[in-house]
Amino acid sequence: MLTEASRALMSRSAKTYTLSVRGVLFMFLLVCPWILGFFLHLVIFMGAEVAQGGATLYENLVLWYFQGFWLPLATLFTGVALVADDAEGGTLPYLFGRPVRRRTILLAKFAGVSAVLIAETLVSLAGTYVICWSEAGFGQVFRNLDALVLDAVVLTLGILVYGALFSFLGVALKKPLLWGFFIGFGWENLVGWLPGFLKRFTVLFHLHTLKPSGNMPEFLQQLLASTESKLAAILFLAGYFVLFLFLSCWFMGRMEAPAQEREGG
Amino acid sequence: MIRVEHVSKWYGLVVGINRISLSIEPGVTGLLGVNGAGKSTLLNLMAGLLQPSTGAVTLGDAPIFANPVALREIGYCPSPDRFYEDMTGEEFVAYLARLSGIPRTEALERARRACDEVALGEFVSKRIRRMSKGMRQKVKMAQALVHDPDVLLLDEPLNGMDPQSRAQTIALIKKWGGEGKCVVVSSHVLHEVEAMTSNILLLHHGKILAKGEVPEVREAIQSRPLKVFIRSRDGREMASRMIAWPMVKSLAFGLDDRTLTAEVTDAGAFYESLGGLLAEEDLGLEILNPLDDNLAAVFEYLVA
Repeated sequence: MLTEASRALMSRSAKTYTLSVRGVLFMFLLVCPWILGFFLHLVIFMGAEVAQGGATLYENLVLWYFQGFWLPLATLFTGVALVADDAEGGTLPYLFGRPVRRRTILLAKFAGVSAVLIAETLVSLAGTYVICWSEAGFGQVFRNLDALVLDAVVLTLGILVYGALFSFLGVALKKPLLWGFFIGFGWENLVGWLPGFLKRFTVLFHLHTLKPSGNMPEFLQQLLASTESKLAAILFLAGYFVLFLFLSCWFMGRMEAPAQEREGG
Repeated sequence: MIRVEHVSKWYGLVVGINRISLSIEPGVTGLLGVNGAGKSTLLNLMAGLLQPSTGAVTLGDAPIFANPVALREIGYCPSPDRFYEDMTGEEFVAYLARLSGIPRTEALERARRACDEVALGEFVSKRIRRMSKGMRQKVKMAQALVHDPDVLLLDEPLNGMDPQSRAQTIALIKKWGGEGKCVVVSSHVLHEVEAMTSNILLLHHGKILAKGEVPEVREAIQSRPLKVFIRSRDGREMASRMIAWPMVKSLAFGLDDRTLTAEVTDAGAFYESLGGLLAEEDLGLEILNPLDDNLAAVFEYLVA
């Protein structure tokens, strides 16, 4: 049962994100795969020969665009901003001065923003799927719905786990965006592709385990070849999610929010 | 109700509050000090936004920092002019009421009442970004009292208000104090505090310099002479008698020989001796007025 404070925080954070400049820009980024899909249709319509069709484009967009780019980017900016926006805007004292648990503030904000991100991403993914697969006829669209469902599940998990990770960075570190870029686009995309045990400390690797891409060149498939089971991947992702949210709440509970323009007074 | 026990607060090497102990009782308490004295730090500690480096800040017996049970009884009006600018005054207050656990419909109703109480008037449905500084101050006050707390912590609440709003707000603060709420008002403007209360807490360099009723505080400063203005039919005779009293440090005549200003080191003893003198002899006392038995003088003496 959600408390009144949780409901207020969730709806406020969801609304604030959706109407923010950041939210509008992200919506544009989610339309980009559709534009690429329509471009493919246009090229084929104009009679050009294409080596690989809509199915390949869809697989590549999911792997490179949604998983490799969109997930870390969107969750980095929204996760870090959960508390940072209020801290920088000077409105954190209003929240911390209320009789509501610190962890409720963080979790409700996280839930509100994640819900919007997941909804937007799934709409974009579904649109991309329909646009790309319809290139080979609408019959193909309905024959491969299981792939869409699996991609939707993987992206949802990705948003939640990356979101928890970056929320943790947002409350625990001084320069969370910098660290977030390093982790999201450095560590994740580098270590996730390397052979060895280390890749288990990335989110990307476990997402790949859940949904291996079948349309990639063989050497890339070998790089990503998973030695863990899907169950292990789910357990790792669940563990990271719980761990990072727990740490975020722990740091949030110790955070100070003095209402001061500057030192002193 | 609020107890501050042996509390210090450091920001790195900078000391914000230095080993302060006090308790805030029902009524209005004026928190005075120059900029940087530690007023906001003390209020932030009492509002549960800062954790003391040492010591404890409690409401009842419960620590305040990040404690929802204690925070339910506290309303805090911060000094910085920060808001969710996209909201209207009423939405802002209602949103924060909901964070206090008040259901949505009731929160809206209470927000309207709180906005009415601080005389926000028709500005209540205006976006905060379009409000004047004075109106924004009122919105901050309204959010502090919307959940009907027993403790109100108001940091520079009169900043940016026009004279009429100031008078209204001062009356409101006195009313809340009279209703039995603990109201702590910080300010560096002395006459404002003096208009609200005579119970003061004077901070300087993170320490309590004085606390209590203004005249008591003044009385306690034995090392500083009190100036008393006197006008009588026979000023010269009065001066000749007073000059012999040990507590009279100096005497100065005014423009005529009927008025004089005495500097006394012990006000109590002075008034006693003066009473005795007037009982013995009719010197035609017309005016007896302590010149610096007010907050400004106390403040000046203590901080200078």
